[in-house]
Amino acid sequence: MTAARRGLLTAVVAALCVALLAADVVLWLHNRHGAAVERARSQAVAAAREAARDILSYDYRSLKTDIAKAKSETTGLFAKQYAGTAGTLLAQAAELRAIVQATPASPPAVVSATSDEVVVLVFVDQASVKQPAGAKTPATRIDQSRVQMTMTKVGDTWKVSQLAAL
Amino acid sequence: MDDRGRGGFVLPALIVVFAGLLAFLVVMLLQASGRNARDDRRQAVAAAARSEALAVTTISYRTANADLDRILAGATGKLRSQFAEQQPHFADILAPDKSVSKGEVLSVGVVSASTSAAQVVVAVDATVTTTPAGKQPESVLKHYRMVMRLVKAHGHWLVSDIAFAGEPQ
Repeated sequence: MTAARRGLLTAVVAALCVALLAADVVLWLHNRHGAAVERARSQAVAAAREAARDILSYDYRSLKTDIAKAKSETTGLFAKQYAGTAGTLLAQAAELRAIVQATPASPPAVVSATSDEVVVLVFVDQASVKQPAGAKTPATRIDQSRVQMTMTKVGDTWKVSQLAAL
Repeated sequence: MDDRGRGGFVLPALIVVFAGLLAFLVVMLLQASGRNARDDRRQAVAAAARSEALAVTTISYRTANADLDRILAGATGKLRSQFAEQQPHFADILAPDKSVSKGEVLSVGVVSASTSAAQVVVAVDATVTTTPAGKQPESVLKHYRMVMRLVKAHGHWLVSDIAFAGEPQ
């Protein structure tokens, strides 16, 4: 091979390497983002399962702890809404001697997902026992609901930023 | 001929780099296509679940047979046989009270979706209107909680089972 031909070939291969490198970087970034969305799905679903139980359950005997726990799993708009609900609970639950236990009636499902926001749909059964002072027997009931939660990434954790009963 | 000296190493080295970059590209492409396939699958599964949820809640005594056909088209296995059994008297069940049900899908979530099977959760409301002979029409809004199982058959996602998480409220 002459020096000139070799020089040309080297230049061509070098140019191809640059093009390939660019394509590699673009695809790598794309895949990294995709992997982040997959991680978001599984982490948000796990957090949603726990948050649904903590937010929708309470026991008048451990109300302050229950509310503090639930509150720590909320953020943004829903954190404000929950604070309002918690105030009402504190005022009423003790008097009603209310115990509410939420259990999932379906596995949590992903409605939509990005790397920092995941919408989760889960069916919940809320069993409640209330016995106001003076009542001879406790009143029990089961409420079936369809809960849609928007989970938002806050640092390394996932918190509830919206919660709606459909 | 000048194959010796510094210039002699550059080309082979570049070819090695080229091969490495190419191999990496192939790996990245495979990863990307796997992820695309998974996203497409989730979308297809959710769409099939939504349309079957709508089909089983949107039924009228006027169009009973066509409505049942629509349900059967999206169903397979256990669900299909459950509805197929009703075929001979489906219209007769709806006729006396002039039953009309109109469904609305509120939310669809995917629990899992492999290449051949999937589980989906669907929240559906249905307005059920009945008009018994000589009476005024009456409407009730029902809230359904459906947990569906789907399987892929001949390239299409079909619903094989609908479990209702509790009675409709």
